[in-house]
Amino acid sequence: MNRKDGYGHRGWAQRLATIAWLLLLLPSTTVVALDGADVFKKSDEKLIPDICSYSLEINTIGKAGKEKSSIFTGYKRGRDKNVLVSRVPKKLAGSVHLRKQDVIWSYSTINHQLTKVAYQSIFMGTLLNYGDVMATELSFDYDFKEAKEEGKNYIIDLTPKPGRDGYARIEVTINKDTLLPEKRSYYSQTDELLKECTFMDIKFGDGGLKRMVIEFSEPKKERKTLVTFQEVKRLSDVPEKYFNENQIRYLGGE
Amino acid sequence: MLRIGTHPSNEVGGECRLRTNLIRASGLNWMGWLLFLLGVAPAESQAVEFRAEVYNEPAVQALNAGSSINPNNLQSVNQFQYFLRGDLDVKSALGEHANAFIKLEGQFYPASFLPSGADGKVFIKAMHLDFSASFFSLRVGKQYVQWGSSVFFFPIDVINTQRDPLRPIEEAEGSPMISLSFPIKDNASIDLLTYVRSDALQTLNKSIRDLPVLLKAAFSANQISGFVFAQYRDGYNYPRVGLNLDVTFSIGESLSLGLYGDLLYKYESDRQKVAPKDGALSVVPIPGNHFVSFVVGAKAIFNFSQSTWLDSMQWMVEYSQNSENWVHNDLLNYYLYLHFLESDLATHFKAVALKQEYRNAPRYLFLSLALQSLLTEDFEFRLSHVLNLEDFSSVLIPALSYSFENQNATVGLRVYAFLGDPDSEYGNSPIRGQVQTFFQYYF
Repeated sequence: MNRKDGYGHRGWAQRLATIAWLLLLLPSTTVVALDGADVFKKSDEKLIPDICSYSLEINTIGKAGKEKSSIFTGYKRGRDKNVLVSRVPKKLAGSVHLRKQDVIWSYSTINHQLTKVAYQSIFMGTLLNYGDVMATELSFDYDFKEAKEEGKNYIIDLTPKPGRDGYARIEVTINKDTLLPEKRSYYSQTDELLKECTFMDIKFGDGGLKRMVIEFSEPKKERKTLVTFQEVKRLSDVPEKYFNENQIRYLGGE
Repeated sequence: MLRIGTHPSNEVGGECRLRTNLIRASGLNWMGWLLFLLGVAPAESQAVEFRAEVYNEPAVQALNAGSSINPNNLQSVNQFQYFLRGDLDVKSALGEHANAFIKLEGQFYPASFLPSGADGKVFIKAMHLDFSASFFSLRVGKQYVQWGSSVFFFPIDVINTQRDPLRPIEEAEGSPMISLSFPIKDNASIDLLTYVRSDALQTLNKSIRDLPVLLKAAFSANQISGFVFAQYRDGYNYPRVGLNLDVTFSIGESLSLGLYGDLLYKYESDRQKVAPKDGALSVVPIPGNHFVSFVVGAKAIFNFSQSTWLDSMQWMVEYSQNSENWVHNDLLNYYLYLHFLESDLATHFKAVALKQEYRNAPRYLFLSLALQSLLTEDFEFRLSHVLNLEDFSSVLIPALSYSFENQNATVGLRVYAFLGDPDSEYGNSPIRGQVQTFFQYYF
């Protein structure tokens, strides 16, 4: 064996070892460089299925424990179409709320009037606005702005898409392992915290999400609102007329 | 509530007696229909839903002895009233594509403003069957249809011509109709309606040609939506046409704004007025052709997310103009005409009905301010103002309400104050003011 052959074996071994180390390190460096927009989109898509029906319960607990409860049956089709038929309270049973692209409609069984509602209008005496309730996928209304890592989570900053109504900024905390949201913080144009929500009790089954509870709170208001998505069922389709505002009174039957 | 000669208990009671007679004559009374629906529906349905409402309203009023409509209380109107209303709703899905709905209502006046005293009735407030397929939806029966975006003046509401906007909306009664709707994708529709006019029950048995027909085309594109319609009826030389436009948007994260307009054109008037004729005052048709009525309105809602004593403030303004309305001279002639009829109570009572609310000046303004969850959750203060822009008389309506039991129960107080010169529309009102308290409960 000459000196050249011995040097050649050691050189190759070193090169192979270096490549192996690089391959081991590659996933972590890839995570650091992961597209925040991609994380946001994947997190959004993991939640409520694209086409489905579901039951939505909204409980607001006020000062001194005064509780208000609303229950709806919802139908979702894609990112921009969502309709809710009110079941509880009795007074509003049969009323229907519809979100279609940028517009929200509300049909009331009390005055039988179909009205357009702004995104920021308060929803039925809760801490939520119509946009909070009717917009099931943030990625339709918001653009990714920036992302950072913080321990086990990604912190994603979102701003409204041009021409869209919404909060000036939303900060979403997403678990790195599950890509599920843990918290959202909603900010005003002056960067004042308006409200926060915490995701709890997210359960998946065959076919996707089965149950999810979100707790909303506002710093200045002494009450909280619990939103529960349950009985989520994937559907092959929801008829287009469900999302025609002139037809929604037939959904409620009044 | 306020119109002597057109008080709900008398006006609707008269219609109810006729309606009840007609139903009995058909051999199938309303109880039979209810039993039929409840008997058949569960066998075919997936669920039967029930809902009930009770409402009671004691009220007191102060009379205006100088009113031309009720001079020195000629009509013997009382100052206290107690009104009770109960509703029972039954709704059932009949298979996958059909629904049935019936609303029974009972009204009872243990004490009434009107001299007739205690009165009561039970009637079918609404009853309809829905059938829905992929390319059309059909609703047949009695139903209330809200027509247009306006909140107080309803110029394009050619269907519900007798609704009093000062009364709770739950009291609005619909008309028997057939409504056929063809959705076009998810942003448009064509509707065809025919209905029995609420003022036409007398002609119910005459001819199907008496039934008006409405053709409506609705559309929406982003924040803008609206509809156009045409109404045909036997006796019209030309159809009546109407237009609605509506736009709503948010400004920042606290303010939302809605703007709307409704417009109606009709070739001829079917209204009357009092005018000099052959040297005496007579009731004559309103002359001329080409009448236009419209409203433009705005609604702003401001959310107070940082406040512990107020959730939101809602402000509304609505301007109404109608070329078919009376002018001040017509109103003065009407008052003079009533004065000449004071000795003939029956004719005086009939003549009172000539006047239509909010149609006695060319222009009106409605303003409303509502504060939601003021000081405490679910407590609302509302102040509304109706202003006659010709004689500057007005109605001022402050109101308080509190909801509880998961929004199913509401207690409240409403005050109506009629302000203006003695010969103005509201200054000459038969009452100076009225105070109502109410309790409403759904279960």
